[in-house]
Amino acid sequence: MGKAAPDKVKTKAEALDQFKDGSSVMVGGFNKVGVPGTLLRWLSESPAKELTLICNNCSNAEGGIWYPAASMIKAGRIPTVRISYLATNTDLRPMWEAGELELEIIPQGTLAERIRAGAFGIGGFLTKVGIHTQISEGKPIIEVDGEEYFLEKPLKADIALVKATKADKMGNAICHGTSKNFNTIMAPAARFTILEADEIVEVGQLNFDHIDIPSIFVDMVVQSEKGT
Amino acid sequence: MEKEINIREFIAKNVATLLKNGYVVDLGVGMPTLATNYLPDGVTVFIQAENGILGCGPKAEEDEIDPDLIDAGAANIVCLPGGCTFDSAISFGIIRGGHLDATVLGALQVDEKGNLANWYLPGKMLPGPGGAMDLVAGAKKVIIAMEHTTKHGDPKVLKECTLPLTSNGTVDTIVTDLAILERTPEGLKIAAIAPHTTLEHLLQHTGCDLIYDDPDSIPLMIA
Repeated sequence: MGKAAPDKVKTKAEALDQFKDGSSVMVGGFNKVGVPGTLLRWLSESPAKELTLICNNCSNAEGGIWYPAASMIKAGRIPTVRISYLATNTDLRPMWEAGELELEIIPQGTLAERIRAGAFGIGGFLTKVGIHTQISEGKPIIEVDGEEYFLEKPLKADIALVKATKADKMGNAICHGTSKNFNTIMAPAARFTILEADEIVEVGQLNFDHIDIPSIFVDMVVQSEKGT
Repeated sequence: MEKEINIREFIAKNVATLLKNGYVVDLGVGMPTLATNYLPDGVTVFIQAENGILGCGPKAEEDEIDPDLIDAGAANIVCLPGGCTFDSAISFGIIRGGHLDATVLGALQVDEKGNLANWYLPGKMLPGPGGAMDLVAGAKKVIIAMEHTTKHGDPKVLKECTLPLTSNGTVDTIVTDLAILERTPEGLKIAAIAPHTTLEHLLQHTGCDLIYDDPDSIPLMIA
């Protein structure tokens, strides 16, 4: 792309401008790996409220990488959470049972596939995961070749916050090891995607055979701060 | 405490007997993962972890820790030669698509129809499904590893689960500190019994009928 390659590397202030009240926000990561910790901290420093959080897990361990988001849930700034694994956040069950939090509990693979469907123009998918449990309640059951499935709808977001090990300035990114998790599918599933990278290099310095997130899915690139 | 550790090891050892050479498996945290320590000589399994790795190796030594390489229990591990990493869509494609030979998970309750409950204990605990619902729906063989009763001594193997379900009729085998139970169309059958218990004790602490042939010739679990 040579001289036409856009430079998407932006500042903290420019990232903060994207955080708006009422937004749905996807956040990548599994446990502590592949989590955009700098962006989560910036989000919590912004005034944004009435947010919907879509993520796999969100630990409330003090000082942990998810703590900024967990604090926002506790403070009522994130009234809706769509999530799969809750064991690491002890606030969620009591808040949900007390009616203080809207919680959509989603099997992990269904979360991934709903995001993938949202990202790639697929109008949902048919699955057996959780059929005839609380998960399938109210969802249409459809028989295909004699087998029962039910419909899970696509999931999109206003903003995706994703993490990469290395990115070039136009947003092509590599996610090392098990940090790919939800980052590669959330990046294309949002209206606006901010990618946080440990290392940012010039366009042309990444091997095109090894890109996990193509730049077309990335709107903004920020440098990960030390300690996240 | 020592007794508890022994029970966990006992269950893990017996789970290991159900894993066959060459199996690709996804193991829950705790007793299921412990099972790999007891694989018989000549049995190798390939471990997939739902966070996106096939070929999980042992825990990383201090000098080989890669912060971006963990298993599903967040332990820093090494990736074995021939292993690979991938995103959650592919990882759950492996799981949902029937590419795993077996999964081993813990449970709050299991019933005689093979129903499983392990994601929500109202008022007490909400671990959420994580990858468990996908695993029990997709793996070819579903093995549950758990203590036979709750801390209060109540049966966890029941006629019908009372907690919110994780899956319907997908459990194949239950390994506890008292028995190995196999699901059959007629109900749960005792495949083996713990050497430290009696048939009477087992039946007393089980919340449904169990099927067995000659009470004197039920195979023993390994100690």
